[in-house]
Amino acid sequence: MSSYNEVMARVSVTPQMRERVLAGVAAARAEAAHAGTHDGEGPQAEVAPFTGVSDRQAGHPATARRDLPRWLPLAVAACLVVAVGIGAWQAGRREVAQETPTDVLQPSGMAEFSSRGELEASVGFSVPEVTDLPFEPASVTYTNAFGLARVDYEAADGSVLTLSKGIDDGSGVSGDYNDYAYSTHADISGVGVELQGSDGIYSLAEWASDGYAYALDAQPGMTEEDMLAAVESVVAQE
Amino acid sequence: MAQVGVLRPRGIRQEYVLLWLLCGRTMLAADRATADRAAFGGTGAASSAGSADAASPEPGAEVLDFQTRPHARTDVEVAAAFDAYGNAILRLVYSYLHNTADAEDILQETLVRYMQKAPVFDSRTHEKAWLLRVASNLSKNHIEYNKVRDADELMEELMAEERQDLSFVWEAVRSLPVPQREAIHLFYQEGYSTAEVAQVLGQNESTVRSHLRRGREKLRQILREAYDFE
Repeated sequence: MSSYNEVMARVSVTPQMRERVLAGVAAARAEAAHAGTHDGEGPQAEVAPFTGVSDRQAGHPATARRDLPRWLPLAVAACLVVAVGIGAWQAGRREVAQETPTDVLQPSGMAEFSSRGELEASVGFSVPEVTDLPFEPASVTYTNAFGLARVDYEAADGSVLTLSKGIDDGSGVSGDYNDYAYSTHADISGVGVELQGSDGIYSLAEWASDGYAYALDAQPGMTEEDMLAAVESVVAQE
Repeated sequence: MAQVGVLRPRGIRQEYVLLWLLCGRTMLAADRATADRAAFGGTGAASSAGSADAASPEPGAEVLDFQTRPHARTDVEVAAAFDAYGNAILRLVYSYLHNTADAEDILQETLVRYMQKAPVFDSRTHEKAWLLRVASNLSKNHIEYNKVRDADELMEELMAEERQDLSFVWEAVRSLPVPQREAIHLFYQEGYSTAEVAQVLGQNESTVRSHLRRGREKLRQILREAYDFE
């Protein structure tokens, strides 16, 4: 067994953990049932475990439904619509909040901040980090540039990689209007990314997702592999 | 790393430590030679009968009929999934969060999602990959939006047992950036191919290879510096 495997073998489920976790899952099911969500899957979530035996085979009378009022199925359907709606609302509350462009504050100029959190508070939307950088940053600068979020990563040798994010109005957010000799398209987790550069070196990557536009600007440029890795590290966070 | 600084493994070259990492990978690859790879679209044996996952579920795991199971997950099914994949999920999450309490929370949340939303799976391999992907995403969300606890019980245990060789490896891997660390874990601990790692993480295979390459390079650097420490 490799050393890492030997290390990981020490991380294992205990009987007490099993009991706690399964109790927690059961509690979540009960909470969902109490809220009327039926686990978000409709009435069959409340059905007894499937045994592969139909009611008819089990000897249950198949004619029982004929005794039910005609309005009952409609009433059940209406209740389900309401229940699913409640469930979706509560599920949305539990998810990490997804801001919309309408939540964005109005830009008021250029402002520099000392942390990503402060920048996020200023622009009114989440700002991702480039976690896969081709160099070790000597400094990181956070800027609200007229409503655009900008994060500048600068290496000791002066290389700079700039991440920009803003509302997608079709005009792009990079501020880079150079004419590059070469462009290519990549798909990262379903997001279309446009890379631009020359001589096999890429200086600009642009993409849009969920109402926001993003750009990575590298000076000097990077290899396609490094640029895609940087883009992917951002896409993975959003 | 101060504790590691006094380690002077005589006769153990740094290359052997990496070889130890790789040996486990080779053994896992052999075990998975007959695993069902249909879910990943790769080459290899298509039969699920020889799947390492199906062959070695933990006691209590129920044989699941993937063709007729309804969307809802019963408590029995959740328990079966827990027994089959609980350790794999817990270890992956621990590699992200480095403490048992947070890892257990994410393990539970993963199974809640499985109970609520899991689709019908083509195979056990597909099911495990789905669970690991959910666990990975939840772990990264947790790192992003919550304060991760400082305790690392695994490191404490290794130190208490004076297993400096293992604490050394664990410290090196946990110091890697998340993208490299998760690729390293899934590749070496779970024995996934780069294509399978890409499927679990929702990344391009070329990106996974890049993360693996950088992770290995960084590990070599860390190991080289540590072994040279006087």
